[in-house]
Amino acid sequence: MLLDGVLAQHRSVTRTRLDRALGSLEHRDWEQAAIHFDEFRRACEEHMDVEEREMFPALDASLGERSGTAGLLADHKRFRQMTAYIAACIDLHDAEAAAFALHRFGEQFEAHDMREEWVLFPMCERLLPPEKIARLREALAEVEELS
Amino acid sequence: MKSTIGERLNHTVENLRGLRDEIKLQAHLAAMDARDGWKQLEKRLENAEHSLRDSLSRPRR
Repeated sequence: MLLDGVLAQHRSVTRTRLDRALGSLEHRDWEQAAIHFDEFRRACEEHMDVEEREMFPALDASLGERSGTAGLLADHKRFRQMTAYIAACIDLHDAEAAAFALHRFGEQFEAHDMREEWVLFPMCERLLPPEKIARLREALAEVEELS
Repeated sequence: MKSTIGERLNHTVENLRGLRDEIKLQAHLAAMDARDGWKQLEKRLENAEHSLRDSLSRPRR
């Protein structure tokens, strides 16, 4: 698949960023925890923004209510609520609550990614024109460059 | 191998900590959902009030 490489990169980079944030929390290094979590959060946000901008509307236009994007949008909303909570826990120096929520976030984000990878992205590759796929790939790849 | 009382207590405390963190997270998410629901309700109420005002101000035949 055309999007395989960028999705594998997304999985690996997300895991690395998540582990960095968890490592800082474990050491109660609040400054680093805030920096690493912010990197993780921003990358997740940008990834979701790209999907909402480049992918969901195109699938909705093609498939209507059958596109399945409504459930994924609900997941995105939940992820944004969870990251707000984790940021607040880090601000309050509540390492246990932050780490717990970050683990939970990681599990749910991974399950969500799997659904996208197995259902949504193959659907995109079947239904969307090649230039749209190329733009999507480029936008996703930009987000996944690990700093 | 039998676990000692200390180990069992540690395990229980760990479980309770996990439960505490789970409840904190769920309470936060529920509060956010409630806030969103409240906003939607207020919007619907506002729309209903507008519709009511419009229909009352229209001359009756």
